[in-house]
Amino acid sequence: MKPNARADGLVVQDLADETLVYDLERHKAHCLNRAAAAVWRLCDGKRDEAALARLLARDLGTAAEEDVVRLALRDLSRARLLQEPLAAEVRVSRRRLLRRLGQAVALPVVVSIVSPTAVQAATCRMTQPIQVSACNASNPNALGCCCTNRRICASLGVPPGGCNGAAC
Amino acid sequence: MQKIDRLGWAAGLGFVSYGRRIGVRVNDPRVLARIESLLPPGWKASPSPVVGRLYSVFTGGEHPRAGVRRLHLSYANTLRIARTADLDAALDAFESDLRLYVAERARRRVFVHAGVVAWRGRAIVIPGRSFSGKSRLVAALVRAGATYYSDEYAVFDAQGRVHPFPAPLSLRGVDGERPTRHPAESLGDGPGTRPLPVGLVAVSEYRPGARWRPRRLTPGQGVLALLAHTVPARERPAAALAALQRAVLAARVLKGRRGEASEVADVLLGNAG
Repeated sequence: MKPNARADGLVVQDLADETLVYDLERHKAHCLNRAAAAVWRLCDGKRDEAALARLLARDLGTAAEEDVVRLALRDLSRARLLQEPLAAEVRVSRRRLLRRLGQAVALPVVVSIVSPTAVQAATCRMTQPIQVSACNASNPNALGCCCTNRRICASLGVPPGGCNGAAC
Repeated sequence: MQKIDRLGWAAGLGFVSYGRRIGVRVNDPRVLARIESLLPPGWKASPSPVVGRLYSVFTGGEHPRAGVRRLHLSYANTLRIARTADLDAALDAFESDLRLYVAERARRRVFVHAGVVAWRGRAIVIPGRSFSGKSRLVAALVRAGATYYSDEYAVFDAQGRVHPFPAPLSLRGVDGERPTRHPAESLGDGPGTRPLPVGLVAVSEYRPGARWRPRRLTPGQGVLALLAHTVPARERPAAALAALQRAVLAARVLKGRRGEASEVADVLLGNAG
């Protein structure tokens, strides 16, 4: 397996010890910690896991074994940050790895969110329960209120499924 | 648009808000004063007849023909955003759409759905969805001595500083009562006026009986927490990420569940100090 990092359709910004990646196609934002970002940048389609582990150890200045690289590749693949997704699901337990390697090793972490639409991020001005007839999947912002927000639906007394919004 | 144009408009107003030219027209000039009170903070009248968005608010009411009642209508350009017997609901829809338009299209600013107060020269930003208790927490923080900036949007510039958005603080009542609005000038010593760097981002969610025992997020996770409530996140992700990144660089980002606003306000000020 010689993974290649995806480069197209991404906005990449570096923080001190992290890398932020915004996927323009899927509208997802990812935060890669130092280890995950290092593996991602090393994926050039020519290096296998062993080579990646060697280079990762050099970059981080700590021991890094192939399981650490596999864990990073699994997370990067799930986040669609590799050009080709991994052929098979990599079975690596983060907990076992941490137990085996101890706290000295920085395990890769990829945190992701779905970027909100403008309406989802806006203020809901509803004061009355949502009328089912006024609010559906194609009109999720009836009266300025996003019906795809489960909590809003719940707080307004709309039963699950009442809004027909995706998350309701 | 021609059909809407024929509804009979009697008065109008052109204004600029965050770099966007917007127009409003009404069939009843008496409504214009109420419309003005709903415009975003900092709006300026503009004589230009060219606007990027035109709102039309048609006031219905009793029709001369007996037994006929006309509904109140609100339009954003040609899109009907309200058709209701309740004028307040029609104006709510207008205000809601207008705020969203400005927040999404503002020039050189990134709007994040959040409450903001100032404390010792730095901003405390409380991102959250509607009904997450932001306004109550902002009100409690102001009562505890903080300066009011906004209960709706944190407005970031490219340097990551937060600007005031001092719309009236809006507290929802229980059981679907209409929110009560408290003018920004009536809160504490009045609203803040200058942009501030961020000192604390508190990602909190109200849970009855919960104790505020937050965990600290990394700066990157803090950016994601803010981005999850950023209005132009999809439209301008690069600008949003850049501004938010600068905002959290020198800030603490805490996440956790909280109980009553009055109980957590002092603790938050301690976290920020």
